[in-house]
Amino acid sequence: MVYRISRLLISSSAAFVLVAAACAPATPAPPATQAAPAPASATVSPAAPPTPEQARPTPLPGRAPVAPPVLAPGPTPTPASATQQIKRGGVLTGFHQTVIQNIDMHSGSSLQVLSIAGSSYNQILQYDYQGTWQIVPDLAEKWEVTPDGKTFTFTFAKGVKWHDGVPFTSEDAKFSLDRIAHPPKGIASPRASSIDSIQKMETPDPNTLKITLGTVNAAFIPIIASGFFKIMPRHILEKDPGALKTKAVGTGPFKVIKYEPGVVTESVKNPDYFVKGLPYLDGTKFLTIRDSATQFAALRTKRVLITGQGSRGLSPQEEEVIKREKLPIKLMYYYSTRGQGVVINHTQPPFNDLRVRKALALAMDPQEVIDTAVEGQGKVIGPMSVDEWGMPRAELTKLPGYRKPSAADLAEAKKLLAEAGYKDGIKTVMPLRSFEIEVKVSQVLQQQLARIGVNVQLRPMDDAAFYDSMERRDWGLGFLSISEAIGDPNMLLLPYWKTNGSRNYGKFSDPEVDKLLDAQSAELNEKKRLELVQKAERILVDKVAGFEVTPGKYIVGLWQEVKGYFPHDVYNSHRLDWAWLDQ
Amino acid sequence: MRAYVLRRMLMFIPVLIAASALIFALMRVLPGDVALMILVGPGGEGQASPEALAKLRADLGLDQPVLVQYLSWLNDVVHLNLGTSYASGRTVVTELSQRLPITIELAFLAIIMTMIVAVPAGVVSAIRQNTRLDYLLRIVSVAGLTMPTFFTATLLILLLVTAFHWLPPIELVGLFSNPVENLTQLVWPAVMLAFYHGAVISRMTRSQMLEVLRQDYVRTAWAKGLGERLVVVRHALQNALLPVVTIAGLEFGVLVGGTVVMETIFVLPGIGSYIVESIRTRDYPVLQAIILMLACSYLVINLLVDLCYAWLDPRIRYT
Amino acid sequence: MSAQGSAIVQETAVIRPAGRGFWGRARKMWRDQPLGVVGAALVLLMVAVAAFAEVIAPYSPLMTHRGLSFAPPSLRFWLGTDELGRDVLSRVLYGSRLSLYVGLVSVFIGTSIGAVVGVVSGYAGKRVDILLQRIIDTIMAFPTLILALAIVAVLGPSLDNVVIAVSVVLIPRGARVLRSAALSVKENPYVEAARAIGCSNTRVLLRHVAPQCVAPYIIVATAAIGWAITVEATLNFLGVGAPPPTPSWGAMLSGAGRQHLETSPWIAISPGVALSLTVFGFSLLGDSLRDVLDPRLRRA
Repeated sequence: MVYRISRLLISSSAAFVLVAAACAPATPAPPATQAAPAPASATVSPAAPPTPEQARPTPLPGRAPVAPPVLAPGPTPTPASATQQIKRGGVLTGFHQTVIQNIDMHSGSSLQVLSIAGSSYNQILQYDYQGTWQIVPDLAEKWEVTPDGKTFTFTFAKGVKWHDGVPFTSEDAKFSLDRIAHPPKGIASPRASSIDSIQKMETPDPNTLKITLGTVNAAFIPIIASGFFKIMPRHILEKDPGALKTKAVGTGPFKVIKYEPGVVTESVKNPDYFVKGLPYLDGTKFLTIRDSATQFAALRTKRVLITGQGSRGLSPQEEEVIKREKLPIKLMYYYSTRGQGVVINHTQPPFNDLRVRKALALAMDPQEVIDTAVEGQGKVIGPMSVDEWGMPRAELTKLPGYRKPSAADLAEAKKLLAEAGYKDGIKTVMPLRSFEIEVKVSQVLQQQLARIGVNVQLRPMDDAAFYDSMERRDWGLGFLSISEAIGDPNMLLLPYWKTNGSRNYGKFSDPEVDKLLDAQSAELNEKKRLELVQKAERILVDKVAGFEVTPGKYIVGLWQEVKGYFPHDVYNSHRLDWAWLDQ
Repeated sequence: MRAYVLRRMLMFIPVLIAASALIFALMRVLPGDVALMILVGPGGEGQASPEALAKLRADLGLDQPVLVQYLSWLNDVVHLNLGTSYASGRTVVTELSQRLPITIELAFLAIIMTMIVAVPAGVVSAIRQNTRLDYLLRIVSVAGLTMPTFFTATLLILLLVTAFHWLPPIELVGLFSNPVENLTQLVWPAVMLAFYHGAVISRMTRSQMLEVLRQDYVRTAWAKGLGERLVVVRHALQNALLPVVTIAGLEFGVLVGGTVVMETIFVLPGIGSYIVESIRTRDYPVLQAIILMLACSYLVINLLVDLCYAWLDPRIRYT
Repeated sequence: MSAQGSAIVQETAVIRPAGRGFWGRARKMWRDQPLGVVGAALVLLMVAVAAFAEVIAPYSPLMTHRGLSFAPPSLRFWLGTDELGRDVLSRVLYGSRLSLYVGLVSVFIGTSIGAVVGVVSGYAGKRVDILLQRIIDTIMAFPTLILALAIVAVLGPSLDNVVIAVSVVLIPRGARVLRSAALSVKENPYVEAARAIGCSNTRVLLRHVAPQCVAPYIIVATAAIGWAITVEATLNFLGVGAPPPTPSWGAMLSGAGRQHLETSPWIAISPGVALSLTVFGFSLLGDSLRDVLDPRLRRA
């Protein structure tokens, strides 16, 4: 009898499991109700929805806006033609992959912070996220600069209000820049040193801000136009510096209504946004999805509409799947500055010897890395990883370290090593972080260097241990991920190659390079600045300061309803002011 | 008896202090600068100047000698203040109270499934020893025991995704807001956990039953002509279950700590994955609080199990 | 009442015992402990693979093939290729070395240390016992995986540190079992007698206690091997452990294997099956050894 009961229990448990399996949610039908209740397209609105031209802020008179280089072949901007109606309404959904613990914009160090809550705030200036990437007004309607390039005067738009109704003044802007440069207790500010050229700020009236720099800085405007330089409310943060870690009060087109770290962040449109007619969307919703298979599944089943926006790009396999299943997902490609680099320890043998470094360069084959580790989705780049500021590619790809090594190259490399006293090869340790891309790329590099007798021991470690190890320089070669949000030489070259730069872990030092880097920072003429930058880059390549291997091609997938949105992490593209859903 | 319980609870204190000191020391020995990590951020995009670093370290109290830090932490704990997470800035208590329910629910589901399936399986296996059914059950339980959980879970996910188009839950719903949805979301990791623990319990049950069934008093009962049911349930099962209860209690403690892999694979924001994350981000306050909590629960469960033992077996007396 | 009873009857009734000669003994083993034989066979297979990997594997486990990443199984690559175009079959074969090395070495170290601690604790009694038991308790109070993770994190990710971590985590098991073994031996009259006539403790320990502890030691050790291999694989799975490009079953199961599970399942399934078979084999073997060696069960 007991036996029968036991058998019954076992079989019922099995049945339970099977039933649960059957009840497991099948592919959820694409949520049908994402459009606003009354699709605005047809009849109701009295005023015609603004055409794209009306909606976009026009570059204003005064000094012509600096045009930062456009990354080719970047997402092709296809602004809706004047005849296509922009539809209002709908909620844009996206995902991001790590848990963002606080949404204080000045402390943020990951693009994901910007993507989930950045649209609640404005900057002083911004990049035209519609694809031209020119610097255009945001809170400041116009700006002027004195001929010596040191004093900027920004005039702000009128009628700007914080989400809680308090009016915005230039004091808020001054307070915000101050807070970034000199953060209060309890607030980390990773970008403090990037505006240390500011000498003094004045607010002659509630609509004007005057900033005086101590030295000329060609990158000043690009930097303050970048995504993290948000203007935050003085009246809240003066009283409580940590108040905006868990909520957002800004001037921006969206208001965060729900922020659950690790789960979801939801925003609704701000009806009092100072740019009339914007935003088009009703709201946004960003989910935290940590598992990459789930991320892709969420895109496929339309639980999220976009990738990009500080989340990851698609892998070639996923791109395959989209093409094979003919899903109505737009694919966009861009090259970011995000890449992997080999850092060389210049302070001790064996790599402080130029001959050894030249030998390494002769053995490196970045194209093989790209073909093997990322299936061809990348391109060979030099120390200046943004095309328009770097030396011509035709020139670069002929130089050792950036070309395919021939048998003669490998023989030459071995000869150099023998000359330097390392006839029997070199053994060295390479710390790296544990991300899949780093692990893959470094393994290919390991193999390449093994061909000339350089034996690299890989040591993947977690972030904390890694940065510690980099600082201690107990390695010969290091592996670093490079990613700067702003494609300006000040951000991409200075911290890495200037003597004692903040990310110059290998302690590379060359007085000629230092001179050139300083000179380009103070050079306001673009052509001259480009010359200086290229000159510096050539020295870096010649002296084998380090290696860049960039699998930096990003594939972004957007459902085709999504319009007016061009992801590009180089310019901190996260603003959704002009995005709309065609449904 | 009361004296015994009190004595046992007094013994908790040295173990808890030792465990917390151990984890404190381990974390401090781990290479890596917390302040640097916070500033540089998960993508490595931030920049950290020496001034910012020094300031942050002072803010977090990391510039004081380790012993001072430990004592001040102990002091806080005694005053029921578990500190603030470095990573999120919220209190540890808040963070844990969000994650603990998930892990506990998972553990409970696993235990319930285990009990329903594994105990009867063990009994059947013992009663029908060395038959084909016994061999089959033994093979299944050894499989559950030996196949690494992350592999079986991976296989399960593969099956679910390809056959049922299943997705790991993106947003977990609470148990009380939507019980059915919540259960369907947690059922699979619970099943995986139950597979392993069920194997342990069923083998234990089987060997205990085998031992008991050989006892003289059982043979007497057979000889007397009592039916199978009476013999098994009345005489054998009760005695056999004693050690099983012990193991079950201990397994619960193991479960709560051992959900690490399951939560990683099924992407659940519970305590297990939080531990791994805190080690990675060097979030000392969180990790210390969790270890303290786990050690405490392990000790408490052990005590409860021993008391249960005494209650069930009248021959055992604690002085 | 059981098969064992009938086995006893069989042995005593036949004049020429069935157990003579190699094949006779083999048949007997198969009849008594079929599962154990299966286990032993699996273990031997894995050991052979580990020993002769160079001969069996078609490619070097480190060799990448440009442009052939994620290739499905084919005649050229029997189990396909992984994310860097390396042959999965070769990597699985070489991966056995890592698992067996860590499994066997760490079990030996951990169980031995635990055995010594346990025997001393059980035999000495009183304060030594209480002190040692508190230490063991503290180790056991940590979820084992976390402890192993923390140890590897502190010492740095390398093969030997994984061995150390797993050994430490294995100490409590050995200590507990051997302690109760020592306790029960201590009660034996001949031990009392030996002490009564003035044998030194060392002598008693070595000559009387130790032999009784061999069986429990073997039982604990073999039971632990499977578990140790699983812990090692889990550590590699979680990202700590032998550095790349060392082929390790656990590492192959995580990372790229898991990420591309739907599109390239062979990368994760192959090492998983190998891992399961190995642990399975050791566990079956351990089970049977326990059945054979455990004095309590023999009484039936």
